[in-house]
Amino acid sequence: MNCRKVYRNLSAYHDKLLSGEKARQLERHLRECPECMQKWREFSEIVKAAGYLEVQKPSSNFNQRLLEKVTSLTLSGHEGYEYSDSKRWPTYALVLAGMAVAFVVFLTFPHLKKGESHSLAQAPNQTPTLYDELELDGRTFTYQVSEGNDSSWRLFESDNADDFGTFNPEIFRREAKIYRRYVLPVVDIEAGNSYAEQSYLLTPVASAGMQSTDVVF
Amino acid sequence: MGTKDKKTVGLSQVSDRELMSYVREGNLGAFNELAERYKVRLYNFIYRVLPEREEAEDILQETFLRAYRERNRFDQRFCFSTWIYTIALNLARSEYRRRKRWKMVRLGTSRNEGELELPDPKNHQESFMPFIEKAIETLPPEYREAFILRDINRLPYEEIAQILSVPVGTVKSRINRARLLMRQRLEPLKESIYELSKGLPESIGIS
Repeated sequence: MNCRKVYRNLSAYHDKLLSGEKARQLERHLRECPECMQKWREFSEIVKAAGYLEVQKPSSNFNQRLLEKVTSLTLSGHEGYEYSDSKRWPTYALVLAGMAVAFVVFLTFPHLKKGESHSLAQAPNQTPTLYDELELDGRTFTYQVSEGNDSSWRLFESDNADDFGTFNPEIFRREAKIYRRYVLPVVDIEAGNSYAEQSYLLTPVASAGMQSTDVVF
Repeated sequence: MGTKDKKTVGLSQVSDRELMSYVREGNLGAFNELAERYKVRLYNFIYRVLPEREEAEDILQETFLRAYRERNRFDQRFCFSTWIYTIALNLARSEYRRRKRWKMVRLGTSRNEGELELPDPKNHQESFMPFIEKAIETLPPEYREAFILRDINRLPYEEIAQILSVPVGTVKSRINRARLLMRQRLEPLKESIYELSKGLPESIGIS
């Protein structure tokens, strides 16, 4: 085995991937060639040392922040959101993209400019800034509808003021009624890290006020 | 609650694959357990593979979020470890490609800047490590990825091949090339290298 071949096989030798015969040929060469022997020693020392680089750790609240993020994505119904470079687009690109979308919407829904409310987005509404109580699964929650924006809710558990954050319930229409549906995370405090989710359907919300909270599972 | 029965089983005793089946049912406790198992090794991989370390935790979080969003696409016949490493790799790659695109106009310091002091002959292990870190940073990306997965994360060749989507033979040659480049770059400090790992047992990697 010559120097070049030894060089090519150093990793395989190091990781014990060479056949017995090939490994013996390589070792024979190392014994006879001080230059290759020196390279081999440096090589194996570096590989060994790399395994001892300081272990880096993410922040201590990493899991907590991750779960909050997952919960808010689930609640807001934005689970399908995909990470992409677009969130880092320069501002002007976003502005241009927004203008393009607005233009297409304008072309597609010309009735919007007349202020007619045919779309779901314009459907119902209720009185904003409303606190109400809601009983789900034997637990009482308070929800607050953000002022001027009925698509965003903030939910608290009434007993312990646990804040489930802001979320956007999915609004959909069925049999001429408008429903809201959201997924509520149920945190099992005793188990510490166990969570479950339950999808709730509130019906209907087309009438004024938020009292209509019949829960359908 | 539908998942109550599973809570009686200690999640730490459950295999990755089984945890993923709970995650598919929406069990966040199982998801939390997977994050606990993988966050340190993935963080170390992302941290060293990226040119800008401050992004590492964001990429780590995005890795888990993507795994959660795509939980129904996880094929139970495959290894969870390979799948999540692949997600992390793809996110890290798009991050460093994006960085490369914007490098020309970017201001501020990168971790490649700054001078290192020569290793202290009395304390080789500690003072030599920054040189190893720096040598890893200067490896071309495809060698750096292979080197980190093999020599820091200690994954088997077959798994690295799956993560990188290349044949095992390519992985072998990339690892060999990466190690030879490391040796070459650290050659000026070879006197220190011999003192480097005295007394250290073989590393078993990060877990």
